[in-house]
Amino acid sequence: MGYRSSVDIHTEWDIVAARQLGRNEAKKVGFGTVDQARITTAISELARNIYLYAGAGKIEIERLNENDLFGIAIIASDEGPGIPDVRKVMEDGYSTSGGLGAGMPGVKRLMDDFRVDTEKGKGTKITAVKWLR
Amino acid sequence: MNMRIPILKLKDILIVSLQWELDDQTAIQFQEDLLEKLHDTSARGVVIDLTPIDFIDSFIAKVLGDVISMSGLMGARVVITGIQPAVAITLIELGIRLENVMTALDLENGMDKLQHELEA
Amino acid sequence: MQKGCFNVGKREDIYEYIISKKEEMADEWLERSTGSGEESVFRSDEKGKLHIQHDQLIETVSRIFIEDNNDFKLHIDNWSEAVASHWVKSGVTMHETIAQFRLIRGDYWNSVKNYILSEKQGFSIEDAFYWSNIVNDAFDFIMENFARHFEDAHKKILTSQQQMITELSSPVIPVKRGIGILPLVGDIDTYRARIILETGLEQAATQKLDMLFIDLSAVPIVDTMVAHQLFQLIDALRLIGVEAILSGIRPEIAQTAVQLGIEFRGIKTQATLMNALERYS
Repeated sequence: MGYRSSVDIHTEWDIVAARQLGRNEAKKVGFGTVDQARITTAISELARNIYLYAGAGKIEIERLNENDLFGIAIIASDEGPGIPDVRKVMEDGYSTSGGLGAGMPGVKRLMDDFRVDTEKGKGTKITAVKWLR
Repeated sequence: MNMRIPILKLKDILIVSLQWELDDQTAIQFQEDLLEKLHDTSARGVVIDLTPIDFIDSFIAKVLGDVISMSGLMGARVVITGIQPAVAITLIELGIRLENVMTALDLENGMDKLQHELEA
Repeated sequence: MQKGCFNVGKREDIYEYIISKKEEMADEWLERSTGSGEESVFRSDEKGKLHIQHDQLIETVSRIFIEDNNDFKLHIDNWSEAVASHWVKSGVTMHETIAQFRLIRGDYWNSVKNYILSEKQGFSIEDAFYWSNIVNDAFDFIMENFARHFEDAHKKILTSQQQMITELSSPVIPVKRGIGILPLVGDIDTYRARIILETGLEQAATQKLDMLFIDLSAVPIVDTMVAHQLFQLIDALRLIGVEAILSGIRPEIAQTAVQLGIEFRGIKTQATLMNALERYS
């Protein structure tokens, strides 16, 4: 397990903090400006989801080094209501809060690997990974 | 910490230059301030410059989209300028195309485009 | 492991004998591999490095006489990885590698054979066959293991060359103030598409373009994947205030596009770059 840092999400300000952490980590790992923007935006989306739907949660950022590959993993976890229908949420255009609904399908497109672990009533953990090319 | 975004007036165009990272509160405040200024000045155009902004998520995009719609209702055209390439790519990948939004590379181009539109 | 009439002592003796012949074998090999004969594949200034590699190989192989089989394999794996990487960079080909191992193996087996023959009283024919198998199995393993690392090293170099070509390959050419051309050439896979998106956009912004003419005449296949990537580029350009115009739509592309249901809604297109420039710039 590589170097890991985290931000607890309770308020809107924590979303800002999570973004800043992500941006710094992305820079440190060596991502270019476009990927930095992708990672920062992905974190913002995930942190906002936690804030809006679960009330409280955590964003963890881990530096990855597997074989010859370097990268960053964003782990967004909460103990909220869980996602009832993951497939539906992953459809473009779906949104519950009246926002643009960019949400999860968008984050999936921004990142290289994307995984959702969720259980109704227990919580959700989303892991999104971006590799350095 | 409550920083408000400055809104300048040049003839009948309002110019907004976003200088720092937009947090949620500031974004909403900006929306209110702009609409109020539009009302007070009866300006016909707005240029919103995003040059120093290094990311736009779906929330900010929605705020911008709403500002444009609301300004339209108040009789003003809006042009968004200075979206950085990295930000543009991220927006497209997120699925946010901002289809009916006027855009320009920088403030100068934006003013020109706006003048054009308003004269037409 | 076959129980023979030999004991640990004999194993160690062979080991010691071979190690004592190490220098002689190295010189013999280096003369042929860096000399002027037909088996020469290395430059003579690489002698120092090769000598060390040969020493390490002899030391590692000889451990089959005194060590557990799996340790030997692990050590060989490490050796192969490092040496294969070096040989690939030195420009050695696969078949030249096999020839080198043939030389080394030949000399090695001769040494073992000499030892067995010189100590004739102590060794039976079964012993001779036993050692022959051990040595040949070891070299077979080495050859196969080395080949794998050799291929990997080769692939790595190809990939990085590939990347370099891709990154250099989509320049935006300024035509007049505010107008640029992006001629796309060759097949566009998702990797290349991403590079084109990122570099094309950056260049359009730096050159402060109002219009970018994207020419497809040298792109052989435009399927839904390529079209999708193109639309992303066009949308991103629009966000930074640049209008994109497509040209070079060959009859085949026009046919395929319509058949696949790809719609170029709202995007200006022309058959040739010339037409496009005349009409829109």
